[in-house]
Amino acid sequence: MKKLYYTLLCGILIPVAARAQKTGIPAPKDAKFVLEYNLPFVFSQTTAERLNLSEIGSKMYEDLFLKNKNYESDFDISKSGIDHSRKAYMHMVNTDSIEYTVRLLPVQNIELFRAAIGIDTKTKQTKVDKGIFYDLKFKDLAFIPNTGDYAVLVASSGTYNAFDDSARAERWGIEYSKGYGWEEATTVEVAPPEDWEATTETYAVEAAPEDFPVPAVEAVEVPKEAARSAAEQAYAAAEEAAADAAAVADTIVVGDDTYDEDDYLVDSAATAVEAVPYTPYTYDDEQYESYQSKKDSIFMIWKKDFVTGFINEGRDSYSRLQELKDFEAPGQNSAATFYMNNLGFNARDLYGMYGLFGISRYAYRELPMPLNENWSMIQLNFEANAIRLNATSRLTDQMAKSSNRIYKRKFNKKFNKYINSQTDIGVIGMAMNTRNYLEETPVMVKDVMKNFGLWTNEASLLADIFTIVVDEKATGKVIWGDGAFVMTNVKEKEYQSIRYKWDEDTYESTEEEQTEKEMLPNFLMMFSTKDEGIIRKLLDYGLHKEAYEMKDGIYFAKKVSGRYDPFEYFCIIKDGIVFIGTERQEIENIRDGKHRGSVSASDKKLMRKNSVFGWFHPKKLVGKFGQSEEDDNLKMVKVNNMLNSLGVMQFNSGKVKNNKVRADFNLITPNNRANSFEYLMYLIDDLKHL
Amino acid sequence: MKIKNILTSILLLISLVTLSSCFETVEEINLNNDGSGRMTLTFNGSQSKAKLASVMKLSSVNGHRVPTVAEIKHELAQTAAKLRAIPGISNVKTNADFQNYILSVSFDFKEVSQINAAFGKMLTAYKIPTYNAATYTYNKNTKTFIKTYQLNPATKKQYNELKQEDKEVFKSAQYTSVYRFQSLVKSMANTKASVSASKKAVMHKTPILNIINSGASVNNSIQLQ
Repeated sequence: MKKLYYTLLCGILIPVAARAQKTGIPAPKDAKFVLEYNLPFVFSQTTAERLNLSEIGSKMYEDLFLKNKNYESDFDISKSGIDHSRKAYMHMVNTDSIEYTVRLLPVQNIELFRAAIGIDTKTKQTKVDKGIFYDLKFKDLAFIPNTGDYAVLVASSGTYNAFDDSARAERWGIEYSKGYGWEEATTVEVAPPEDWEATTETYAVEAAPEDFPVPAVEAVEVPKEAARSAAEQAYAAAEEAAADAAAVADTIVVGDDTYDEDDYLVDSAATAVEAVPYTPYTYDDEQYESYQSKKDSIFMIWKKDFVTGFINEGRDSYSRLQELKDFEAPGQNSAATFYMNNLGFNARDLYGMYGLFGISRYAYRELPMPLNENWSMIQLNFEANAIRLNATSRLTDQMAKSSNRIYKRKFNKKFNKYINSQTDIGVIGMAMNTRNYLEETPVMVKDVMKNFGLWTNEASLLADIFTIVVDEKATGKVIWGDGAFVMTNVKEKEYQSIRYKWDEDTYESTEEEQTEKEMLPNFLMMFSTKDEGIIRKLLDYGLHKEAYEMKDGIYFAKKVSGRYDPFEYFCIIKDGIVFIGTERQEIENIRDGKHRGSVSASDKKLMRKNSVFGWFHPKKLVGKFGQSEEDDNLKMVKVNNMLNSLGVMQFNSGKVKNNKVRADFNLITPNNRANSFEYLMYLIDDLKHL
Repeated sequence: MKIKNILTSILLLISLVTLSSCFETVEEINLNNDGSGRMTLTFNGSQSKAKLASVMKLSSVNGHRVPTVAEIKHELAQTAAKLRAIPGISNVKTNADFQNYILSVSFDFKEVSQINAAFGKMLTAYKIPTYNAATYTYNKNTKTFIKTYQLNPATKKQYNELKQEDKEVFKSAQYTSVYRFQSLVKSMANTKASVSASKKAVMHKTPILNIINSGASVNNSIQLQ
């Protein structure tokens, strides 16, 4: 029996292990983000020639190459040298000093590839045991191994605090004085680079994919003298370049205004007016230029160290992304898969993004790294009749528990009477439990702050105060938690504008009203309540304060703010549902018990199975936007054609299962389009040229 | 909160399809013979007020933050305070009409050169490079009024780098300048401008795109009798 059990177990595990080997993604576990380009799938859907012709297609492809900064020549995808039968990868790794963006590209034709990334006879090369480093334009770095079957491209973004650490700055020959001034370092000896932190831990992980055989080579010790010499040479070259640049800057001549007389009205007489001399803004701070040059040369040394460490890591040790808890591999039809790992984000990033609530610029560097197993994955999938953006997020146990409580509610079936699948342009609905939401919010805030290691005590205190102040049960009765927002139609609305009429004799102006027309959408919003009384009290208070009026059982908002609002708002409470709409007729019909229509079976299924859902029919907007006097006819034709070519858009997010929550966005492609990949490519091209 | 986000998203979608708004800026100077006078700057967005009112419900559009009514009023008050602090500038008035989306600033000046100081101070306050300002001169002896605006390559570059949907905002925008004098106009350099029947005022209307493409298009040198 035991033998049979083990045999069965092996039978199950061997294919799983084999699959894991194929799905290995060469990126570290703490990468900030990872992107997999499924080139075999992309090129099964389209050709290099067609990608070349597509603006978005060629741009996306060029992003693989750091070529977006190169405007010198058109890029030919068929001559990229890339092996389109293997996948390509990109990931970002950051330290407290520098951020590396690493591209791992499968190479088929090394000569074409070199030419594609701008390597020529003038490119600086550094031969090492396992391959050659190339110093590319814009301070990027390429490494091509001796095998020539793949390449590593590295771009970096030095965080501005890279040399805030005075000890590190001194070691690298940078003398930093706080404020805006940089002092020239003339006597400080250039120290060797920091050793790359080679990992010595043993990880029991799957092998790296065959696509990227990372060679298991012996560690190459970077000789300290060599590094010192390299840094000194780089400084000298950079300073020379800076001097040349400064010479050019000193002789800048502001170009004449190149005004095309054929395209625009030209006031020829205006040239008779004497021009005001213009003084160009130029940098003349040599110290600053010198600092930048030194910094760049140091960053280049760090990048080489990083790649050396990377290639020395070996086949098994670099593909650690799969170690993420409950990791999911990309699907077969996924053209691109994006992973975002919360381990890669920390309070320092938040500081950069949001200014982080007054944390001192110098203190935030000391903040701890968050440690949790949350990650998110977004896949761009293509099917015969649809384009699907599928997102999956793994939550912590606490977040999963809280989310399950919050979304433990079904969508109110009574809403179906007020949604019309046939005529409504768009619908957004959700079903959550407000009481649970209010109860879980403090718990989630504590959890998040704990993970960030920020203001743990303060967050905990505030969360507890919130719990005391808010009556979750009572609030949860007033706003039950489910609701729908319906975009019912688009109709023409009239309004008065002010134009100036100029007296011919004096050019004094008088104001003249003119009627304008605009196409604007109408909305109907509804939400459930178990306490109509308190909402009626609120509305009656508004009546008392003359913010609302009531007529025939319908409340309507008065325009008291002195500010023009193109919308009118009407409100009614019926059968435990609060309705707010912008069309009086709709609300009157609800009051009179008239149903708005019916919901289709597929829409009902979407409502039943999800906590948040919605759909949008772009086709129903065709011809709805009037042509203004300024718009050209061609633009309106383009807009209508674009709307007409779009299928139904749907989105939905379900409940948390096994600590994972999924959200999907689907664009149904028209029946006459067999290839959804090319459909999306051309659609984006068209949108760019509307 | 959720509903606001939903409304925001839908309005944003609509605005992206239709956001080719139309607005007009009017610059008026009433100049006395002694070089003193009054300047009025007006932004009239009433032709697009339905769109502007919709956009004002959003927190951002096309990636740009949308200011609130309170913030706009606060900025206008700040502008007025800055103008009042300039020697020679007086009787500063601002108006914000959100029924029609018309904003205006007006002030008296003792010397035309104070207009340049006012523009310089305002642009600096709003962190806009001062090279974007036009300059005005008036020579009392020769009775010559000159407006000069030299387009800086950086300004044009900034416009060219805008996203297409942002450029749409300027597509139909108009600029009107009106200069009224106590003396008769003898001659002027800008042939696109017109002189009133009384010969005491000069008007020039041009699309704002013309200024972005050629700042010189609004230049003028007006000789008074």
